[in-house]
Amino acid sequence: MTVHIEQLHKRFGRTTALDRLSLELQPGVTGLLGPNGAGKTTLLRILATVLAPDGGSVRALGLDPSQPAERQELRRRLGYLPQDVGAYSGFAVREFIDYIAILKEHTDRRARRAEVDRVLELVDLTDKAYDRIRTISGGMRRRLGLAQALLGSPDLLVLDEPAVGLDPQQRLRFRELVSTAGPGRFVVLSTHQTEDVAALCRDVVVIDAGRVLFTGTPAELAASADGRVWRSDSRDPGATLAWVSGDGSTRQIGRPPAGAELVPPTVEDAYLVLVGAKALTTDVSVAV
Amino acid sequence: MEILLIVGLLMLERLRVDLPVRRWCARVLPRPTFGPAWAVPVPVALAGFDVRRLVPRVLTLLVALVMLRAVSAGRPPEAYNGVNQTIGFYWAMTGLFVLVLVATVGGRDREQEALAALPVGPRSRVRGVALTVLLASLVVYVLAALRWLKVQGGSYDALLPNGWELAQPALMVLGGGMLGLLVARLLPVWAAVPVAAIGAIFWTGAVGATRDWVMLAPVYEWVKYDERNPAAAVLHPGSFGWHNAFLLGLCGLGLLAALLREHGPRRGLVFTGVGLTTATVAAALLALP
Repeated sequence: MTVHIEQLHKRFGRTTALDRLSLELQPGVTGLLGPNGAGKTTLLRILATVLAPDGGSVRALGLDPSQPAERQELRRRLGYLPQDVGAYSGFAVREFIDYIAILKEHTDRRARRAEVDRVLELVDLTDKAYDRIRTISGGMRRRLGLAQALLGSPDLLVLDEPAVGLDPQQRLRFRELVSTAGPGRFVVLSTHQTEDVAALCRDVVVIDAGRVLFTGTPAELAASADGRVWRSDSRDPGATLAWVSGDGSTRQIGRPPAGAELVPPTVEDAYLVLVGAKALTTDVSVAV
Repeated sequence: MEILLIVGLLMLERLRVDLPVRRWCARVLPRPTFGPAWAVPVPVALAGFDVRRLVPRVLTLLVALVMLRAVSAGRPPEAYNGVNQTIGFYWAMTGLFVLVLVATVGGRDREQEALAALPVGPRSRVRGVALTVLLASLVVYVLAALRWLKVQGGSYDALLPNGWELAQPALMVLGGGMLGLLVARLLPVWAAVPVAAIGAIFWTGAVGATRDWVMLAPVYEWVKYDERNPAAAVLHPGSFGWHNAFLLGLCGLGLLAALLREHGPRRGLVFTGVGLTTATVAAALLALP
């Protein structure tokens, strides 16, 4: 069973968010990388059945979300963490999860209580269970959003920038959590954190301007930048991007000059090679 | 006066007494194992959730105290008015505000994105809130019946309310809650709360003087006095039964409108709405003397 996306198209006014995008996702964790406005969130919203595409088709877990009955069934097997959880600020943490559990059709009160306890434990929010949501920090809210997505151990977990706002310890815990989601389950997450992709994902998809630029494993992505990353004392003319590393040398991406000291590329290097100068406007600081 | 009451209720609604108590219980007491060990329909589970959430509020406790006082104190005819007016008024106001706040919380806190991916849709959530309101109205009916039992045996025996009259406060609570639900779904902003409440009060005041059988409140003045001959008081003309049917029709229309606001099949709801509107207008005409 796979998640199959065929010729997906979506426009918002004159902006094309997804441009006949096709993908086949396998069980395991798939990371979605791309600059801001690449179409990651639109793709995830369509996968989460929140948004209908203008064209193309999606088939997830053998179900077609364009059919109401199958969409309903897919939602029963889906966990979704949107970019902005916006949890009810007046609710207590436990109350909110309990409410979402009911809306996920966990109507057996005793079983629901156990499930709520389980997910709160998973995201390390048991101690905050009776605190009002408006009083907890942004990182805790993110974990709360993750907890509601994990309710019922969904077969398809769609996470839109799940690690934003998490401290390093919580990010490690998040990685552990997602990596143990279970065999045969699909986890699709969008992120700007390439190290999360390298550490966590079985597959990685890079998209830009609504199109797929790359699909493969993180190692394959990193390998795609072989011979494009080098180190020197100063910026070379062929460099698309360059920055001064911690050791004082300049790490450069682009077309290396003859005799340059090539270095093994990371996932981040390869991502920057793929999306090129667009990355300059988002996450990368450049030293010239 | 009404505006001050509304502002006071809105402020009180924000206070909850349960959180420190629950936290203490979670630490000290063993985990309770009561509660149904079976699945119930989603609207029932949602109603249970709303009840657990609303009961520990300071406002709810205050209203409960007022209700207990209304049931236990006073003499006829004040006692009878206490049944119809006090119980109905306070509970309807409470129902309106608390439920508006519960039902609009999604819109205010931008939670719709996460909720849209869940198998239970907004119509089930509306039904859940409606069921909560229905439970509250049943509680009020029981309170009114208790009051009725208490005032029996006095000198006003002959004028004690019948079953139709007793149902009025409960229907008012149902109507207040449904109005809250309607406002929450059609106009989910804070400003809509006092506007709707004042509108309902204005309507009741405006028609109450001349057409009290179609006002949105219990008809509690059950005796028509002749000032020149007080001994010749007669029962108030008109029909409590049709007045109740009118109020019930309005409640149903409020629920239908709230359901229509949400995505889903509409044809059946529209046909039901047309039939219910006709029935409600007919009930209003038949209620008048």
